[in-house]
Amino acid sequence: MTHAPQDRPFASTGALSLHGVTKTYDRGAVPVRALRNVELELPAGAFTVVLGPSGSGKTTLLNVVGGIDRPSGGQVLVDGEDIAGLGERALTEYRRRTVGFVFQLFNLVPTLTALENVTLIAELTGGGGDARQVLERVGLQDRLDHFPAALSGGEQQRVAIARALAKRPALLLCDEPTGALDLDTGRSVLGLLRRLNREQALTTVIVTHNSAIASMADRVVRMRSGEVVASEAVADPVEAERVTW
Amino acid sequence: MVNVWWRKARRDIGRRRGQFAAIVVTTLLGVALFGASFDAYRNLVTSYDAMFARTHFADLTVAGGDVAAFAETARATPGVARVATRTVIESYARVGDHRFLVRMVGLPPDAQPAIDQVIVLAGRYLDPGRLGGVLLEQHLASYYHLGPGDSLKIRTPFGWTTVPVFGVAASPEYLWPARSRQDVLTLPQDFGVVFAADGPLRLLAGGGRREALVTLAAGSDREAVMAGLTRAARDDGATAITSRADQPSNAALHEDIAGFGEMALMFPILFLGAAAFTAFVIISRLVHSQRSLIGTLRANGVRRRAILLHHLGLGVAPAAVGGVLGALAGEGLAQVISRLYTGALKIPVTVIEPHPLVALAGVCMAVAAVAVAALAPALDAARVSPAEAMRGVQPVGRGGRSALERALPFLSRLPAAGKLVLRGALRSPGRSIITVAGVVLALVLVMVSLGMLDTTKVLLSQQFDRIQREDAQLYVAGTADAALERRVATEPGVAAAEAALQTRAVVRTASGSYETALTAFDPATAMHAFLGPGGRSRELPRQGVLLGSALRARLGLSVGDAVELDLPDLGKSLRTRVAGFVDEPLGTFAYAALPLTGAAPTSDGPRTGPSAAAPSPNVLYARYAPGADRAAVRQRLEGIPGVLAVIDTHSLEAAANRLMGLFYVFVGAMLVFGAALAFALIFSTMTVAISERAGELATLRAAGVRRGQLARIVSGENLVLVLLGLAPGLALAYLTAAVFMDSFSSDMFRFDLHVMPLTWVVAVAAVLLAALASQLPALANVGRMDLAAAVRERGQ
Repeated sequence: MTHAPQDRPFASTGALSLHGVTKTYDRGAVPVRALRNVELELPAGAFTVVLGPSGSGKTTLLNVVGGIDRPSGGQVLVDGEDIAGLGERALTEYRRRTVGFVFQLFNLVPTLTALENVTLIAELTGGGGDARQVLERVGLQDRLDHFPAALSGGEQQRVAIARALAKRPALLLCDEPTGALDLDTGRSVLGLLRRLNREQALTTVIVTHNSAIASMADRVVRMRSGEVVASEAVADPVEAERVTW
Repeated sequence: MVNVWWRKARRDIGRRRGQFAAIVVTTLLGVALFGASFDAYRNLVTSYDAMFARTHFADLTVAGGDVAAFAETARATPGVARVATRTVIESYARVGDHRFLVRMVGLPPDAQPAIDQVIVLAGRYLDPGRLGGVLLEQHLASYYHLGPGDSLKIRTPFGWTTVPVFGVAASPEYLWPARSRQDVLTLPQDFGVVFAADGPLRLLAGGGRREALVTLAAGSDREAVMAGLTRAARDDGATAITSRADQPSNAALHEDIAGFGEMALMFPILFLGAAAFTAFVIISRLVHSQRSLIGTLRANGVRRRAILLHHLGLGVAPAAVGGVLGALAGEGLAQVISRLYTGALKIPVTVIEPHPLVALAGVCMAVAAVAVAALAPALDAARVSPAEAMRGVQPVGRGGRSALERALPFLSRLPAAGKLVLRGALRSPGRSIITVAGVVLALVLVMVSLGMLDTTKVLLSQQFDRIQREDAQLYVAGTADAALERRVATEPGVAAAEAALQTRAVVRTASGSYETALTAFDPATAMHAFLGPGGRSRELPRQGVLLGSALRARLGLSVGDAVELDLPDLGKSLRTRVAGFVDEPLGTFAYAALPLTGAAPTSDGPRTGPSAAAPSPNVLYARYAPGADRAAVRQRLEGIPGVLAVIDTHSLEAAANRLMGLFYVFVGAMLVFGAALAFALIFSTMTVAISERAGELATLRAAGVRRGQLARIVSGENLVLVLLGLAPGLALAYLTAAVFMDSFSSDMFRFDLHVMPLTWVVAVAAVLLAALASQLPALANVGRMDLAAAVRERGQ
């Protein structure tokens, strides 16, 4: 079952455009320039990997695109709408209707089952997704009533992915989704993300320091010291099962 | 290393200053209230003792029988320091148009007596050259604005006699101007005391009594000497034997200040308990969040002892700060309370002393309580193995359906957000228990104070609306005969009048005796209700006597037991039976039907008692017509020939209700303290709970859950715990309040706990409000959360 953009609650395509985006943190005497004049275009439905070493600004980029941090300057256009200047409430609405997040540490609610973790988001954001269907889509139909403590790392990450998808977002932003997983589990999670990206034309951005993952992307963005040093399309992305690190 | 440890401790505390401030505040309140209560109690006891020492307050007062013979025996008894005798007369006085009961106490005119001296506050002592003058007891003088050079009229066998006032004095017997143990709440407008030359008093025939006073020597075997003197007094026919402890004024004052002693026990338990709980929660959470850090330190060779002491110090330091501040505050508060109290009661000797040992004890209690609570998490920290350095922080709670869901299966149909609330509330059992404990402790504090207020209001209403149905008691010259009764009954503004007999009585059994007052009513009296156990009204029996229920335990009496009633003012003694017991809030009285004492009812009914020579009624009870002008009726009644004084029953009620104003201040303070206690505990547990779930909550915010939705979820968890604490809290609070009130019950007052329905609501509302307010800082933190950081960090 796929979701076309017009099936999403807010009819968003997830096309991203960043122009002159900067982010500076004032931490003590020396300000930290996490993003420096970033220019980037990501088409709707693209599977993009953002690569860079620690401190390159890739996570900050994700935060800014995801609306959990505001840039110090520049424009962040999502489907033509500039989110850079939005206030707190507007950003919440933006995240509610447009963005799904997947984090390295899963961040599931330990007192809720897999099904309840997904249902919770659907209830609270009015995304309208069927939690059971979403969990089936990620291959967890047999683990619906398990609590996170009883799930493996990979299964927990799948629940996190299902939770992000329950809102039927236009953008799926993943911060080191395999960082806490072993090779095989990591591959299966990556494969899931890729499949969802294709099935739903879901603009997917994965931030990672693991360059091996870049080979499966449609586009690779490389960052260093807060700048985009390269943004190139990948001619023949490989399947997740063939990625190795 | 020490400097770095200290720096770490400071920073750990600084990062959680709100939580550690809660420890400081609760220990401060606990130690301050302990110090204030205990020091005030000590100051007041010392003030009384100083007053009593200065005035040689009697250890024993004996009245009736052969007082002279007893005095001789006492003088010859080893262990006795001083013996004195005096005359006491009950009479009536007039100031302007107002008449009231007066007690005239004899003093040597030329020098202070050996025992029960007075402190002259204005004017001078008695004058041996002018034996007709008097000293006014200070409460009487204050009410009527009388001083040296003024005069008042006193009823003597020669009629109303004008007596000059030489001075105003304070007496150890009337610091609380109680007429008797049964009439502790006496107003100066109804009863006063004057001191006059003893010689002339003895010449005033009738109505007086002789008393012997004894003080014991320092170092004597007080119990043995008192027992011997009591036996001797009984052998000499004494009708009343009163120890210092039982002396009405002294007993009333000690009942009053006993409350401070009770509070000195209650406050530290509540507040230091809360501080201990708070410290346990905070330090446990801190240890949990720093396990990998602690493991790293251990892996680098830091000893367990250093880690243990460091984490203990995190609790002890704020407790010490709060304790020291509380000790200082308590000392200041104690002085204020002591001065206010002695000023209000006009106690002329005020001793205020610092009690450094009490302050030290308070600080030690605070530190010890928190140290005990911090010990468990500190030991846990010390036991962290170096391998923990490799692991991340494990989330609290392994997940599972809550006990409530297992008990109530229909809860499984709740939406996910509802389940999150239920399970979130109970995910950390220890912390949930502590939150619930905070609610329970706060409810105890609030209910004890509100319960005191309700009880006092209900008992006053019971006493003055249900039991005492008269509006006034008229004291007459001679007999309250039928003619006088009719005269009063037909007075405009009076609806009904009844004659009764009031006299001093001593109830004797094999196990002891008790001095009280007997009131004999017409068997069909409409002026007094007799309430048995459970508040059920009963008839006045024609045979036997009704006794105040305190005598059940005091004299070991049951219904049907034989008792002897000595009526010293009537020169009679009656053998009768206990017909029942009455529960009355004020005093322990004896009641009988007029034929029992031999006084015939003054109605036109047939006489059933002995002959007309039997004691006659000496008091008239009057009930006013609805809407009558009380002051005008009183004035008219006082003008009736033969009426010596009119005591307005409801003036006492009005005065008691005015005193309630002070009580409201006290209750208001307790409500604030209770709310502060609940606030401190719930704030701490809430803040810790949110900090350990920062990642989880930030993820929900990142997913687009609105602040208000998240706030409702977090508040819901808090509310679940508060609701769980309400039932046990209210039950324990009620029990505690009942025990607390009962501790004040005696033969003078009966404090059966009454709690009005609205009080339950107010108590719950106060705690709920405190709980809601206490979560505001934590919810504000949720709103201000750095989402970008929180979604990537493990719990704090």
